[in-house]
Amino acid sequence: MTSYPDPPPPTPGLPLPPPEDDLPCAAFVEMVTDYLDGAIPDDLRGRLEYHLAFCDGCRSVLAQIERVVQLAGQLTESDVDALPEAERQELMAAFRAARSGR
Amino acid sequence: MVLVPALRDGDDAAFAWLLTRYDRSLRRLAMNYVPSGAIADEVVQDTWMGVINGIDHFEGRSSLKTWVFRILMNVARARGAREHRSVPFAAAGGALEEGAEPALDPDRFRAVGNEHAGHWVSYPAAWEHEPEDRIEAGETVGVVREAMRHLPPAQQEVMTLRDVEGWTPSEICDALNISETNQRVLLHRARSKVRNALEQYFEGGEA
Repeated sequence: MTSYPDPPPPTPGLPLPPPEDDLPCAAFVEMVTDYLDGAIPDDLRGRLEYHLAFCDGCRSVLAQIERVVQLAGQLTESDVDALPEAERQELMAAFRAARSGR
Repeated sequence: MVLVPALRDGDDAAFAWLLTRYDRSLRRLAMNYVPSGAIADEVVQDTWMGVINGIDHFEGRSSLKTWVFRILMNVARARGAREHRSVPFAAAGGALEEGAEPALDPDRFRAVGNEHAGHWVSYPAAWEHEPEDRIEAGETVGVVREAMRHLPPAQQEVMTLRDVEGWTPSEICDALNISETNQRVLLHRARSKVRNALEQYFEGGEA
């Protein structure tokens, strides 16, 4: 029989989950991308929505992952240079040469 | 698809459109695989030459975009090997090479055997404040960029395609030859690490 350490004292200010909420927060944080992609199986989805309705912490993590996605989407605007005009001309010339010389 | 016959016919406008549409994406992706911007530029150039010379062999079993990206991967792989940088592509069986990685530090949750095991010890702080000015907004994006640079290559590859380039999951699975499940596991690990970096940044610690 495994013995566990004594439970920590309840965290002040954190509401306890209702007894019907059987989804651990540690499990939810692994499923956020599945959730956003609509890839949660139907039987789990209801439990997950129920959990989210009660858990401020998991709702925060969901919002944070959505923020990460939105910020990553902004990287397209700034992180690489456009094709220099000279190189574009070289590639266009290579295209013409290859296609006409078939 | 109209584009492919146009390219085969030597239609300038079709090739120009392709350059405009994909060159930056290819450049950004190439940066994931080779050690310098100069080499990435060469990889992209070689990719375009591969497109020019290979369009007659394109069989249309994948989208043109996926086909172009596969050429980039092949060129980058050959080049990365030459530059002595290992290139563990998601497609090369390295997809889940990192083993189990929790999205958040397990200490954030009440331990097994406790009442309400797996629930938060304390809630993560909400990131409600919006950037007050453009400098702060730019800084936040910079934290994301830096965190993405430090991701394991397969995770970086998937997150770049999905969240930066906006590819669909099925396009990514097709291009990298990985399952939808693996795609989501890699993506979630990547996003979670970037989340952790942002959390440290917002809470004033070292990101």
